[in-house]
Amino acid sequence: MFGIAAGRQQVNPPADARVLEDIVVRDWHGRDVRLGGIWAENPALLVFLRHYG
Amino acid sequence: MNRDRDAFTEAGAPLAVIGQGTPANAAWFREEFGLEIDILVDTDRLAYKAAGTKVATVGELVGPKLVARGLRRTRRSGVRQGKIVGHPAQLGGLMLVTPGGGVPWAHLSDDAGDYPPNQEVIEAVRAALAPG
Repeated sequence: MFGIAAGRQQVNPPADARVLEDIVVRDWHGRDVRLGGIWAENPALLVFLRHYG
Repeated sequence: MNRDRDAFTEAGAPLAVIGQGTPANAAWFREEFGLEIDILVDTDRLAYKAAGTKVATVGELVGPKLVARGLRRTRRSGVRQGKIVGHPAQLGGLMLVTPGGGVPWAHLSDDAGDYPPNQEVIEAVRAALAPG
């Protein structure tokens, strides 16, 4: 119901973030941002929000 | 995290904040909370899935321990919970990424209240990026 998991899942962070680098998200203006560009030159801390607040 | 954004940058890893929903949701979030950080949106949750984050069970979303933890956090930080948009059971997390794609540290939420304190994350970032 509402997409809630029926059984307990395990988190599974990748050892290599190249699996994310070609994913395109958008900024709050609606402009496309390729994820790999964020850490191309310097480290970055990706923060995946559960909710807005 | 907005308050500590400069500390994360000084530790070596500027924040890249990703939420669900639409650019309009992210714009509302920035305005409502007076945020100065960039917010990206992953409408189809492709990045959430590739990052290995999880979808919660009912017990991982609500429950006495989670509610108590949330109330303590709200009291400490003064930050109230805002809108849930997108998938209601999608959990979040943190992932440090280095040029070339290395992931020297990550903390993905095991339940809805599982977020380490900022200072603990800053120290983890510093340790992970320390030379040698």
